[in-house]
Amino acid sequence: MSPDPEGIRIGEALPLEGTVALVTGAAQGIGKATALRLAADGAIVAANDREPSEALEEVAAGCGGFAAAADVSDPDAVAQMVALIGESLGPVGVLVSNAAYMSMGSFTEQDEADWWRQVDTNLSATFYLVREVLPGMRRLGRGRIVFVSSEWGVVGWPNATAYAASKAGLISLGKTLGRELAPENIITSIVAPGVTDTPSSRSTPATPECRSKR
Amino acid sequence: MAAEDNDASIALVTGAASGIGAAVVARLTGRGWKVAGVDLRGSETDLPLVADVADRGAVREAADRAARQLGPVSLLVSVAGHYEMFPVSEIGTERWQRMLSVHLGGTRNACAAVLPAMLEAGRGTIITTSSELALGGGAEDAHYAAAKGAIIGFTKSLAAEVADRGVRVNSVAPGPTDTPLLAPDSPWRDPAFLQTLPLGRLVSPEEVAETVLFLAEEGSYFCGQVLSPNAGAVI
Repeated sequence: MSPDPEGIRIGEALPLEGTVALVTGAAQGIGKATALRLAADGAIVAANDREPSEALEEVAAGCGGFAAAADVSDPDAVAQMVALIGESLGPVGVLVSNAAYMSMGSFTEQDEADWWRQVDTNLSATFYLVREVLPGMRRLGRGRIVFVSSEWGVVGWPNATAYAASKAGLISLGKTLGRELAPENIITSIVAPGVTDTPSSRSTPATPECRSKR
Repeated sequence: MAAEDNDASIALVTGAASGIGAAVVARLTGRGWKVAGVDLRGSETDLPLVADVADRGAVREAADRAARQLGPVSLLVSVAGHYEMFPVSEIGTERWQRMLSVHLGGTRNACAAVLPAMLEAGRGTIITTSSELALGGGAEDAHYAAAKGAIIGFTKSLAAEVADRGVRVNSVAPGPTDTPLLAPDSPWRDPAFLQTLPLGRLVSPEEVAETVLFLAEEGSYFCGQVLSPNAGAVI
């Protein structure tokens, strides 16, 4: 029997043509690469970053969507951003929660506000984003949610208690939403990259130090 | 290391008034530990202290008082927490932030309160409380699982950070446990659910306390680990 020339259909692939994708932290690094990759597959990408910038505008211009500057750790700003995307592009069908803040330091000495800022930006912001995009995904009858966690969320790291906490929390949140939302054809997944060659990692002086700690 | 084997036998237990925390207190007391208990209400401990673990200043004051009245704290067991189930769309900002501030913040505050003295002494044990739901997820547990997952990342990182200065940090991640946190009509008590567990039953608070005691007294070779007494809920 000859193979089916159409190929064997294993699962239902989400057609990205015309799908609105929101990528946070998209001005550089993993977020930028993700936004451009989704756009290459036909998605209309809303590229988010904390502040308006030339870099963000360039990414947005390459994605066929627009730049959506907002501080994702602010629940009101997230609500306004998602509403604006909905009015301008349509409901978000793909959410990639990638924006992150990292500040390494000794647990006993680190500034508490800086400690919590990492949890707010990396973990709470993801909850705010999911909450705001869910109604649109439900109207679409489908959705894909991807959290960008970290290897450090899996194994922990010295002098990174807040960062690792936030990224481990994302893994547990992702598993929970995976169970809760899958029956609605809203699929949640998590990627946990190791140390990645991005502008953030290049500008983090603690990276070589924490390597030597191990 | 049993408490009676040394003079550094002072423990601080948060969430000491009921459930797992109370069982931990009973088990430690039975082994000779002197226990200061922090809770929103009084606890049956050597030194009951009323404080909200989400309040950093109050936790610090409680730890200071424990050290003054009982002696240097060499064991922290951070248990305080609350549980509620909601679909993700019904978890508002307030519920989300309260869950994080009690579980992750409470753990953070308790560790920050006792750690400087432990590091100065060059010895200490910290045991945090996560959950099986953080390991495997669970529908309608988004804020709880996220907070408990964050505790795992925090625990592993802190363990790696302070191990070489004599402080061991580990976590327990109980499965559904027969405590007041599970309401009588909780789905976790439903016989149909219990049948899905390999052991077919809830975990008892005493069994979680036994795990805590093991990490405190015998598990001197455990560092940054998560032990999950969970009746097989996550394998």
